[in-house]
Amino acid sequence: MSPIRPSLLTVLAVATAAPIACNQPARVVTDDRDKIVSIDQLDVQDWENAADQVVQQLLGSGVLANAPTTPARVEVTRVVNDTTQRVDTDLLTQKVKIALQQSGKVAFASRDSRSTEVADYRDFKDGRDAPRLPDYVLNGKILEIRASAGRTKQSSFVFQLNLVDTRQDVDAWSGEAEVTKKGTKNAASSKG
Amino acid sequence: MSPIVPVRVRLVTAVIALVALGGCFANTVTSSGRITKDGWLATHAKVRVVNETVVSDDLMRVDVEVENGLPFDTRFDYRFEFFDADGRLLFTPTRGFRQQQVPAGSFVTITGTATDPRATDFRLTLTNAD
Repeated sequence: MSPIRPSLLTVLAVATAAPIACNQPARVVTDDRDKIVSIDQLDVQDWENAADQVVQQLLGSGVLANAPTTPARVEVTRVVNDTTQRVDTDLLTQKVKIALQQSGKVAFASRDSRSTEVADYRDFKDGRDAPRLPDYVLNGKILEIRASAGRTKQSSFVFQLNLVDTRQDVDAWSGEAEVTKKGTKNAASSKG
Repeated sequence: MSPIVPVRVRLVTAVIALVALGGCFANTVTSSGRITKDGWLATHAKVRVVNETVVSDDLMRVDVEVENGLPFDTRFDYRFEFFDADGRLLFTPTRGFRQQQVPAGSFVTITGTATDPRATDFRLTLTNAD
C-alpha cells in the first residue's frame, strides 16, 4: 500500500491560508463588543461600564435634589487606586463628570491653577473675599480581587465612590460598581 | 435492554443540533421600533418595558425585563440610546454595550438612565452574546 501524500495543491492552499488566518490588519474599533477582553486587567470598556453603573445609581438616588445650589458645586478630591495596575483614575472620574454635568445638576470645580488664580483676582477686584467652597466632595477607591480554579482565572474590580456633603461632613451618597472577568486566556472580543 | 448508540453517532447528532440551533438564531432580527433584538433573543426571549419613569426631577429612566425562554443559562449584550424631542441622538460618555447573564427560564431587569434632561425617547438594542 502506498503512503498517503498530500498533493502539491493542498500544501500550497494550506501555506497560503495559514498566514491569512493568523494575521489581522489593524482597524478602528467602535463597537464595545469587538474590543479585547483581558482577564487580569482593566480594559477601556470596563471604565465605561463602571462609570455607567455609578452614574445611574447617583442619579437614581435623588440626592442631588437636596443640594443647596443648582447646579451643586462638586470637587473631585481623590480616587485611590488599590489595584495591582498602574491606572489613571481620571478614566473613571472624567466619565462621571461628563455625565453629571450633562444632567445639569452638578458643576465641577476646576483643577486648573490658572483658572483659580484668575477667579481669585476677579473676586478681589469685585471686593468679594468669600472662598468658593464646594457643596460636595467626590472621592473613591478602586479595588481588585483575584481568584483562580485550575487554569481558569478570575479578576474582579470594584469601584467605590462617595459624595460627601461638606455642610455636614457626611456621605450623602455612596455607590459601588463591579466588573468581573473570567477565563483561561484573553479574548479578541466579547462576541460569542 | 437499552440500545447502545455509538459515540460517533452521538457526536454527529450533537454537531447537527448545534449547527441547526446556530442557524435559527443567526440572522433573525426583530424590532418593535424602540427595541431591536437578534439571535436567541428574537425567538426565545420575552422583552417588555416594565417602567418608564423620571429620576432626579427630569431625567428619563427605563426599566426593561428580559426573560430567558431557553432551557440553559445564556448571555446578551444591550445598549440604551436616548433621543431628544426632535429625534436627535443625545451624546453620553457611557453609551457602549453592557453584557448581562440570564439563568435558564428566568429573567433579569436592565435599566438605562438618560444623563441629559432633553431625553424624551429611547432605543434599546439587545444582541446575542453567546
